[in-house]
Amino acid sequence: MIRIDRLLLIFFFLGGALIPSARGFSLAERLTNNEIARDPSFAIVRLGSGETVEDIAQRYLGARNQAWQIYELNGYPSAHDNGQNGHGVPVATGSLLAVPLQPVNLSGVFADGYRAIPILCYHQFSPGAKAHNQLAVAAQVFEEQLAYLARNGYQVIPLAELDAILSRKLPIPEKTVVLTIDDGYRSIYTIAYPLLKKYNVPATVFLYTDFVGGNAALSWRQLQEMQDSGLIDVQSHTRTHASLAATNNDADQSRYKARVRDEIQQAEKMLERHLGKTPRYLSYPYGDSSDYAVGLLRKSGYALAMTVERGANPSFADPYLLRRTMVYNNHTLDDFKQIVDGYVAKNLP
Amino acid sequence: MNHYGRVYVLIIVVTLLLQACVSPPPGETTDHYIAARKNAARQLQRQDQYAAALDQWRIVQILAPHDSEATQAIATLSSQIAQQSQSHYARGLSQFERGDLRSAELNLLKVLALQPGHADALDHLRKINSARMRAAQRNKSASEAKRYAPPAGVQAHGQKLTFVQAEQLVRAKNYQALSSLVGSADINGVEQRIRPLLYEADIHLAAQYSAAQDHGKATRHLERALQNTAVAHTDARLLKLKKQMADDNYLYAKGLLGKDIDRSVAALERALQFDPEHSKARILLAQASRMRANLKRIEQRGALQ
Repeated sequence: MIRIDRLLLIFFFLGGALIPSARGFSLAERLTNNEIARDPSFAIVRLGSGETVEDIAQRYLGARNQAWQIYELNGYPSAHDNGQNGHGVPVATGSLLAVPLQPVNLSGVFADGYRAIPILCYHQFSPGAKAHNQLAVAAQVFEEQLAYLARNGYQVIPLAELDAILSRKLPIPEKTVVLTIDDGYRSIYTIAYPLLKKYNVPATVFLYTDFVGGNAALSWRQLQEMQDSGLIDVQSHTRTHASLAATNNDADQSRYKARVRDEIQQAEKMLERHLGKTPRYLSYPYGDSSDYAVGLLRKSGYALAMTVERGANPSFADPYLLRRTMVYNNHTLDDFKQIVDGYVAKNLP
Repeated sequence: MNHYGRVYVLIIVVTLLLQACVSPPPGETTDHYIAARKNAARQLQRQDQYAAALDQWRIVQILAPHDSEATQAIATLSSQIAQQSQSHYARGLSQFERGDLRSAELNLLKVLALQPGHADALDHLRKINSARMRAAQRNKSASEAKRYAPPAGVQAHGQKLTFVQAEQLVRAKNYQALSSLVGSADINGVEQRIRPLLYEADIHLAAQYSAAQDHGKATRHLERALQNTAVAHTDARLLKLKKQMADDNYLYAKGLLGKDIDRSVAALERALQFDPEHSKARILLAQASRMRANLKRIEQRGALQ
């Protein structure tokens, strides 16, 4: 007589053998997540069935959008080459992949140049195909720009990721841009936000807090809603949008410093009160900074601050004096393509 | 072995057989993968991408620790990279200390192309980058253009300004603040209701600067007032200012005649722009233009000889 517990044992053995593994490889590989070898710098992993490179990136690098590191190291066409926006690049099941356990090129400098990240700066948006104000970008034009980024495999990263890159925690990916929108015009909510959601693109709104609730401005409720979506990050553009550089109206140094402190701290208080968050990033009104403003931001726990000096930011950019490029309504798609091309060619062998 | 023992052995044998029968999907062999990595390494080396080539050889070595080609390549590349980056870094550092930031930048970038994680090279490049950005910011705030032609990002300050704010500033006679907020925006980009207020600010500021003999600033405010079509240009204050500015520019040009003929001509042209009937300015402009033409001819002859 075979007892019931022994029967269960039989089923267990037979089941283990008959049910095909989700990964499909040797027992040893299965026990080690398909990892077949490693040293302190790299792990060699076999791609299991039903598994994607993004899954491996999540497991080893902590985020799916870091899959580009694995593609690049293994010589696969990176996301931007096939326009897949980092998803669905076909790597056959059973392929071996080297996974970097530490960034292989932290600075993004190569023998033929270096990578740099353009930060785009928008202000207002207007409905339709044509804007009549230089700083307003028409909805149709904005959508064309977002579609161009998606079609050509650009990664739009949030400022938090740029922060990690500049802090040398993450390597700098190719074809990457950051989107920022200054001031806090209502058209961000009515025109830009639906498009950002459609393309799943993150953006940072730099808000000058005295503007909120004005005729053309966003309300705190709209700001909260956008922030809750996880797509929009609301950060500081000071309280009144006054320049943080010393001006003729600043009677003396102590009054100037008090004014700058007030601009930064009052905005901080408003953001904390209405959105429950302490800002970590700031865009200088008019792009004007000063040594005092930079020192104060650093001391107050801000991680990044941006000007409106045109250009892109390499891994060695000053986090408190980042370059940003304005996007105007008269920019053509060709102008836009040039703005977002962040690679700086240089002969460095 | 009793009956149950035989059954267990049978079960284990069947299990192992079944395990063998469940064929895994075809996987890439390590030999194939090693060959691909070696090819990639050789290609990267040919493109002078030594750091990336070294990574590929290291991957090969994880899978084939005794591969002599990989061992050899790693030794050669490591020593080549160390030697070259050390020399570039030493050069870059000394150029940095001498203040030759352009050359220092190039050498430090060369270090990073060889050793992308070189922390000291990154630190120095950040210092160079910082110094450049700080200088750009200082120049920006120091230049007069800042007050009249704000950076590209703020060309339409008028858009940020509400009518109520503008009205309050004019009521408080804070014309300078209103003007600064509008910046160098095209007058057509400024909200319609704000334009008459801006006109008011410009008329006052032009008069103030004219009284202070600051012709440049006075001219800019008067020109903007003239471009402002929100008001009829029959205002007595405007007409008076135009006459005044024509005289100012005429006197300014006269003083410059023997020193800077080009600036003198430009000021006379401005004087006539504000008052086309200014006969003294017209006569002086004719004289100055002749003088300038003669000077040019003399310079050309001098150049030929």
